Amino acid sequence: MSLPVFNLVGSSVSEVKRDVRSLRWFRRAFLEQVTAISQASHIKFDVDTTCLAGAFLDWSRSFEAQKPDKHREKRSFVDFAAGLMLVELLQAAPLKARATRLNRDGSCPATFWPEGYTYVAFCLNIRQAVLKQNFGEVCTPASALDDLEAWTAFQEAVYVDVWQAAPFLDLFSGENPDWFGYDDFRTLMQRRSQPSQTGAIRLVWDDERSVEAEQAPSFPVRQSLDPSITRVLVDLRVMSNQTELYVEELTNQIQAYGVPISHAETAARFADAPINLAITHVAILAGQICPSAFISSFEARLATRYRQDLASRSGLAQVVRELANASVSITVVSQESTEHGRAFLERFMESLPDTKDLTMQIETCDAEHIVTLAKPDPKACMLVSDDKKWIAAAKQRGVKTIGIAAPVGQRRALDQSMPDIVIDGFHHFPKTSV
Amino acid sequence: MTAGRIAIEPLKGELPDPVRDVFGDFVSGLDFFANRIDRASSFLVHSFLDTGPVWQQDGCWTLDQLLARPDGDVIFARIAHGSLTSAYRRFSGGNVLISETLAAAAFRCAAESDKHRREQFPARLLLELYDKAVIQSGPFGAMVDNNGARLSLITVVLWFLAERSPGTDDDDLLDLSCDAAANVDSRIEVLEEKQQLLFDELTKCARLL
Repeated sequence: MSLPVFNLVGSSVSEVKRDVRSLRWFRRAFLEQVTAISQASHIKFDVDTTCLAGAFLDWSRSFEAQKPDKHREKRSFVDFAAGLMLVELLQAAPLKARATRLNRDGSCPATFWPEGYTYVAFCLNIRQAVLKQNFGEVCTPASALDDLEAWTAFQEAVYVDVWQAAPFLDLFSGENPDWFGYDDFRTLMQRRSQPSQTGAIRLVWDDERSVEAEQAPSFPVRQSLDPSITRVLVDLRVMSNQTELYVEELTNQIQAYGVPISHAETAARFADAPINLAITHVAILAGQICPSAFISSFEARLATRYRQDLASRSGLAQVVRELANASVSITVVSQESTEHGRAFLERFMESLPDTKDLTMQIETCDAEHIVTLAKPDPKACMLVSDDKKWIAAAKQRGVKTIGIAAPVGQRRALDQSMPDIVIDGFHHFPKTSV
Repeated sequence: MTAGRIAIEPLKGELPDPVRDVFGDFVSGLDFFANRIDRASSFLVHSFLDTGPVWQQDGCWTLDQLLARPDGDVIFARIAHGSLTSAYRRFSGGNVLISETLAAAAFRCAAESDKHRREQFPARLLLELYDKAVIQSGPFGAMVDNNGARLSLITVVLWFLAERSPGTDDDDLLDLSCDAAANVDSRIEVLEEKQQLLFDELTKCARLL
């Protein structure tokens, strides 16, 4: 895999690490890169140099604020700075491809997403030049750079959270990505210097492989649960496959109106958004729409699906048994009281006849009131959720938190709320000491 | 705002085969870029850069050099006239009057008020240029108070502050300063007179040009 390279990084008189800190060089190099890609792909571009300068200046400020003093961290900082540059370029969006039928056929990354491809190529070329000049490394981009599935995931992830661009740049450059976020170099270094607590995070491209990975986890290490914890609040949403079913049915519902949409796009755009957003999307693309008809038919569809397929997450039963055996009380918390939620919990309890002293009931509350459930001793309480507002509210009152990470695209949002531990699923839930 | 648009088209791909290779070689070098950028910014400061005694042999005066001269305010006003005219045209596309008298007065006031804090002179100069309404609409001299005027003033102060080497092209530098001005403007509120913050942002940005 080779990228269209621009002359300036290949010039023997150019010390890229120094020169890239000047807007003069940066703008010239970027325009060269755009022309190289334009010549190769026959795509016409418009460059907004004001936005480009904004991206450069914001990147330079972050660069200056975060550059490490320790020599051993300088190599890692090259990767970090390249990711940071990609994030700033994506945010500022200085490039617009002029779409035509021929150059938007999506048969290769350059035509699938010309702007994103150009930003990635530019950052990778700068990174390669710095590594070659300052560290004697010869880099070759990874095969993922040619993989349209990777580019689809990249585009969707960036749409939800632009900071996901940094780990994707690592993926394209052949480095091992850290999907938990990149905006702070110091935090990144600290996380890398610690032994992994939650296992390696892998990027999977299709649902089948994702399910397979969860059912047969390859994470040998489980942390121990803090013995002072006597009560666990579990978010009903993370106990079941409710979110996945919701996304599937919403996809079917949108498609039923003749609007093409993928499962991944629905997840990225509408999973955590009010239903009105999906209705607006359909209305724009399909013409007129009756919102009440959309909602009623969707609710009917969803109720049927929940009744048939709502199931507990893999590993949940084992965790509940362990907690019950350790005399840790469990309270299920939910943002709304629903029939399917109660039915699910009843079925789940029935599936654990051998568990002594197990009582679980649903408490309905919102982020403001989650902490009232932790009284009288918040420090002896732990919240398990994938909701960043709940996690932030609980942490504020001293409640320990475990974040259940959703698929790629939501990890960053969860990480920002800083749960004490982030795990991929219940297989990695801390084990009790009993 | 018309600032900062460059169109890049795959010229080579649109040419017939026999011509493509020759023409492709011709346009693939760095000169191709220079032409493109110059064409996009040809309205910049050519008119005043090449003439007049206000220019040093090796390029533009620095603000420190002007402060050390008794006729610094006059020289500043003449340079500011040309650069502000060009910058304003790029941001707002229209014609305005630049008052050299008020620009010189702004320079003198800034120099006088910050005698003991010379390092903050650029920030004070920007505030004075704004207060004195140096950019005016003709013929009656009404103050032009719009986005373009504010960005033009930031541009020119950045342009004066930017480091120059013997090969520096002042046209190109003014174009870059125009690009950077919006970012600086988004981080400061010129009218609030937070002089230290203003100074920090201006000098940080100028170092990166």
